[in-house]
Amino acid sequence: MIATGWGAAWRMAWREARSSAPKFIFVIFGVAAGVGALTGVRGFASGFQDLLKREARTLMAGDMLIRLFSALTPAQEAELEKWRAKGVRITPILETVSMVSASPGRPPLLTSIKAVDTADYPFYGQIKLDPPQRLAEALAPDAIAVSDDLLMRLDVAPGSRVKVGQTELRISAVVKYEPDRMTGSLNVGPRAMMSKEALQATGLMQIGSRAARRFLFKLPAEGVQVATIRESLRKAFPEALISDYRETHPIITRTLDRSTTFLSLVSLIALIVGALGVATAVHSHIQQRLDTIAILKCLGARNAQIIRIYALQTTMLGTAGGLAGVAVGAVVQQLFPLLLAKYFQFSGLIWSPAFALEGLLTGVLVSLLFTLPPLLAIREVKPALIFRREMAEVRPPWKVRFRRQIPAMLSGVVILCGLGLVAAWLAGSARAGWTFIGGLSGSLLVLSCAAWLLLRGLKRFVENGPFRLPVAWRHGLANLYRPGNHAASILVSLGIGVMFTLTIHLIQSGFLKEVVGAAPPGAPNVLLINITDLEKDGVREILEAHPGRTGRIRIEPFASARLIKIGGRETASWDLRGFRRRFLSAREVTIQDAQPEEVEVRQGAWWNTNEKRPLIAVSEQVAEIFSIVPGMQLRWMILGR
Amino acid sequence: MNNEPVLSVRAVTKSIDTGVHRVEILRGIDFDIERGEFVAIMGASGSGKSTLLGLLAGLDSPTSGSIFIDGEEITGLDEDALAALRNRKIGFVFQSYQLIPTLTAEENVLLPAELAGEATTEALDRARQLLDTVGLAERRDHYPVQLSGGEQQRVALARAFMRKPPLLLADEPTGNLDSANGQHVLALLRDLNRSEGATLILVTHDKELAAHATRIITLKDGIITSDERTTAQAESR
Ligand SMILES: Nc1ncnc2c1ncn2[C@@H]1O[C@H](COP(=O)(O)OP(=O)(O)O)[C@@H](O)[C@H]1O
Ligand SMILES: [Mg+2]
Repeated sequence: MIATGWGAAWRMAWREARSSAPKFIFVIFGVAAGVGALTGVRGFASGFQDLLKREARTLMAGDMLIRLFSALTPAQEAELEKWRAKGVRITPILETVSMVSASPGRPPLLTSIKAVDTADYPFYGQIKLDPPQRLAEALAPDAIAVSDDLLMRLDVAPGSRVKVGQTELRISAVVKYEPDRMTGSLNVGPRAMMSKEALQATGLMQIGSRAARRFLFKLPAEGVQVATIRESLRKAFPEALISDYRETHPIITRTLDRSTTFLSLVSLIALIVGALGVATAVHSHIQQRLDTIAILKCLGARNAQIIRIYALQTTMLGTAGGLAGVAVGAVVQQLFPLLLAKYFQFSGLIWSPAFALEGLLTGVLVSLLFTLPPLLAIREVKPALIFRREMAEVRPPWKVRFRRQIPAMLSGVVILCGLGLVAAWLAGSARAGWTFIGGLSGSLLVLSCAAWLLLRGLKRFVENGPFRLPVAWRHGLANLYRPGNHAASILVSLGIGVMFTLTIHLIQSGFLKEVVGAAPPGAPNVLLINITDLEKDGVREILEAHPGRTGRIRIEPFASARLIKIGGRETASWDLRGFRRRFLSAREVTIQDAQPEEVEVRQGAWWNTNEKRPLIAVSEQVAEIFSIVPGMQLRWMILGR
Repeated sequence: MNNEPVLSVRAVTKSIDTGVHRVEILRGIDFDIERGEFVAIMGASGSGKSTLLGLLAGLDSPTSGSIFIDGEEITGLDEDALAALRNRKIGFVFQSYQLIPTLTAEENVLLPAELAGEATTEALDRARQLLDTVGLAERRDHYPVQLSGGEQQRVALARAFMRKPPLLLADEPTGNLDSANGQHVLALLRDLNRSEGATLILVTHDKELAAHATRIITLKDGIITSDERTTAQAESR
């Protein structure tokens, strides 16, 4: 037998809730939907982040990588040697772009080439080849492994020979999967992979040729800390990009964070609509239990005891909804990976009890918040009700009425602040909390006014309308505005639901606009490269016939050239750092007769259409870097000549 | 036992402002009730009997005047204090039983003890013994809907005596029952009253019922028109 006040309250609450179960089922569904969305989204996001961390080694094929834009200096070589001596394994990867051709008469194909040392690469993950074989076998010094689109575009098959640079290589396999594909630097055209020796043989890697260098590191099981080696490398390679497995791909993480926040708030709104349902249900439940409440008061129950009973009942509803929601969330969480299956391989997304608990608590808390007003109204129930059913509510002066509304208004403030806190916590920002409070109270106000006006108008219409409605209609409509009816609160919840759906839609399209708007107006969004002279007319024809095309098609010739001397001075003597160093490598040089419309001449003048002298225009940026002024002589090297 | 009246009513009035006009329900009520008395309050429907009973129990507050229970003034006490006072000192029996529909007979009887935080094994024993007294020992797990009107009223009687209240208030306890059941309930009420030693105030407009009382107070239009001891006094003592 339960001897405490809480025990009795529990039992009363439980019995009552059970006897009203059918009425509460939908309320539980409402909360469950909100909590389900919330836990599903958050559980998935955090599971995904963990997964990314776990898979990060595979995604970069090493514990750490360093990306360089220039050849190693002797000091840097020494630094790498130092770490090798400590048991760190380091393997270089070279990526470059080159023409690959099948037979002399046919157009060559611009291809991203990646050269690896098969002894070490990859430290994590596996290269999948077709036909299946070891990477070392596939990348013999005379062989090349290619992506399947290269086979198609060059019309060759495994076993065929292709010309790369100065040598011919045998296609040994098709690369099906490369673990570190996402961390690659150059993703132009089809891909090909070869050994260091094969790359040497092509002769592509002359000083200054356009190449990205990567070093992958694998740390020994003990003795070398990621942070230590990273710090040391950062000093030795001030211009390099260093990342280690502890970070995940920043673009993915940022997008994930933003969408998690967004979806969490959306779920919170779903939860609020559910909680409004809880509040309405509890309100009408209490309304039906006025007798019981009056009896309890007659038998000596204090207000607090009775409020306890119904608060427990609300908690039970919130918990039931929350638990159902957690189950829904677990399912939702499993559905996300299906949506993303194309991009990521989810081996195991762990269901986190922390997020389940968080969702459960949010569900209970929000339900309780909204039930505050009907719970407080319990205090107003007069025990004399047992004798006085016919007691007509006397309308007291507005001051008294106002004073009676104070608890309700205070609880409204508490509700808003509570929701704001939950929102701020979900979004991880106080500003989001304030915005949420503002938005919610604003919309509540507007919707309440609208609901009031609507019901008021309805009353006018029914009572003083130009014609008398049939009895059934009159009763039905009058029921909507009779005192104590929930029409207003139902209208408001409905309104909130609709309004937020609309907001989500607006935010979504705004989001897209923002993305589109980030590009300059008129900027092309489709670029085709490596169109040969033979193909030029055919490509133009196809593009002109394409129904989705807007804007002009421009086909412009270009050559890859390296700036060697400026006004007699070697470009190598410029001390350029970081990004600027790229200007020492090969750059695209286009060939134009007339001045293109988007080009504005800052200094000097554009050449005439049939100009015979070798003239060139450089961008403002290049001019600034190398202090070029009109009239200077520039010396270029094109394809090693 | 002390000799002060268990209940004193001093110049009590009750009026209600309906907004349109003021209804004076009680217009100056005065009486004392001694320990162990069985008082019947009589009067036509609408004479103010229920209103008076509500005031005596502190369910409502008088417009003016004061009420003392065991010498303690209850007018002006706050709601929680009144609730505690009711729990300790007043048992209720209503015309329409007023059992809690979601609790079993036994749980209804035990409820006052539970609200007092005293749902002990002894309390449970007492609840069962009271149910036995009203002849419902084997119906204790039944819900109110599963009981007849007479049975429900007997459960309500057992509940009213649960806390051994010095004062028992009954508002037309037989009003909804046929005469056989009414007789039964009345007999139980008197038996329990005698064995528990409570003071009984019974509101009725049934002369036959009132005939068992030791004192009859008659109300008309909110004032006491007669207050007399009856011959039943000797019988009851
Ligand atoms: N809240 C109220 N508003 C208006 N009149 C009331 C109210 N409560 C009681 N009355 C009136 O007071 C009178 C006494 O009521 P009541 O005490 O219930 O009488 P009884 O129990 O003797 O039948 C009745 O006329 C009743 O209509
Ligand atoms: Mg009455």
